[in-house]
Amino acid sequence: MRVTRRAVLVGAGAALAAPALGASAGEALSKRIPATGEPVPAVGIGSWITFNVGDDPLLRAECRAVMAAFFEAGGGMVDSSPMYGSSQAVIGDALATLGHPAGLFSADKVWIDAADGPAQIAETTRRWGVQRFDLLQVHNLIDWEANLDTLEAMKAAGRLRYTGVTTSHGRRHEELEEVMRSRPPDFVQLTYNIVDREVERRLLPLALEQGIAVICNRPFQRGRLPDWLAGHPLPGWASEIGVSTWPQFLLKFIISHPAVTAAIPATRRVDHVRENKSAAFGPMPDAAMRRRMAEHVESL
Amino acid sequence: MSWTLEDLLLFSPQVYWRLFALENDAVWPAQPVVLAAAALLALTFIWGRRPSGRWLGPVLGAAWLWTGWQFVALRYGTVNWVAPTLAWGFYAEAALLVGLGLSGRLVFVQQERGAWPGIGLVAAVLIWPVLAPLDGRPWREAEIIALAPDPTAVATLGLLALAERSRWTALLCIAPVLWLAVSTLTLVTMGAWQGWAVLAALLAGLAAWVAPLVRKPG
Repeated sequence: MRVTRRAVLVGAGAALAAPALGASAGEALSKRIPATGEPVPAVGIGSWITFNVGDDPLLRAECRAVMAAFFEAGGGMVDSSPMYGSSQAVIGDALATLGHPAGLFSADKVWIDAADGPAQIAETTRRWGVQRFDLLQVHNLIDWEANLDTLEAMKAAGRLRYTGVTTSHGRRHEELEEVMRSRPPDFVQLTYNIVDREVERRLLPLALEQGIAVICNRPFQRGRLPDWLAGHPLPGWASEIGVSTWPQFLLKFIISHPAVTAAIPATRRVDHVRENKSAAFGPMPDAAMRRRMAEHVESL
Repeated sequence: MSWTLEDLLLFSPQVYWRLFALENDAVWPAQPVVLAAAALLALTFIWGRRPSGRWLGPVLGAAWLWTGWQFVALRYGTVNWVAPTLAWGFYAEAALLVGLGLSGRLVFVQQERGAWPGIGLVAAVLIWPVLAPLDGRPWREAEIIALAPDPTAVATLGLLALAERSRWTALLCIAPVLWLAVSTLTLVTMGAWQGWAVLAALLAGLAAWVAPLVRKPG
């Protein structure tokens, strides 16, 4: 992928050392993938539920508009799964309509027993209409050892750029930790947001230690966090980190963590995707500010 | 964090409701025809007449086949990968209704009392389309018997409550009961109040079917 608007954080070590993870006002924050140093925009887009619209022409048009706005704002990681109903086909439709825009970091998953993995990957590739994926992940650790064999073989053959393993909703963290220690993939995907912070204790430090990129799903807890926080005023000090809305607040908290590579909020609204992407601009909170942000939300 | 029913929901409420709009657009003007037929059926029972299961079984079977194929498998299946599997339950119910109807095992009887819950459920599907505008959604998203699964299952439970009790009619209750249970869970998880209407119809249908059996021993 090619990143046109970015302020690249130079490695996890530098990020840790930096008192504030600042991206300059006019440039969106990108993070480096530890395995290669390749930059990737810190705010991507997920497709769970939001892009599962079937054949509905009206809702497909909304998805295309969201994808267009996403790429206008710099693009980055687009994540899906065979589990997500029609989402893959909807993404493929949008990419074809938009002429396969530059800036795509394609991420999908294998979600089946390993014996059927290659056939599922072939179908996923067909639905997206891409030549190859940037990242394929073992979804929710299903048959993970054998599926990781498949993905590593694809990577070795040049048919895949990165491997990954996912979990969600805070489950199976011990098993994910075992994978990260015994057979570290290029990426892990897990649930991390300002109220679901269990991964801060072990998995995020381990990712830094092992050089594994981290994708954070459910950054808004399926929209519950912004809905809940909408009833509270933003703290006055939020302006110090360039935050004017709660979604920006929530996303800056996530993407400013030194171990985090990208957050993938899902939406079917153009104004929301623009708001999400805007979170990658401006000053980022440092460790002290992140603590303050979490404590503030806890106090509400 | 742990699994919740919400984690199993693959689509948004808007996507789900619009499936009915797309289906209604595709089959117009079938809606007034099937609603008129349902009204005539309800009136037949209200007038104390009992239609033959030899034709009503296959007609109802056709409604299950169409709903299972066109809506559950082809329409709902675009957003829920479980739906094409669920549709097999509709095909099985359709085959049973046709088979039991033609073989004379589906018999609608003159009941001394207790016919009204069954008639009420059949009549309820006539007002089922109103649930959409009551929810602030357009008429296009109305759920119509023989085109949408919930009212089809509700009407079937009502008709089975008007039929002679036997192991065969008990067998016919399985698919509508299971579907309405699944639908209740889906709608309640979506946060849709219609889920409670579906649950009420399910419980009323079960009670109407079981009530004569409970009364008999006494």
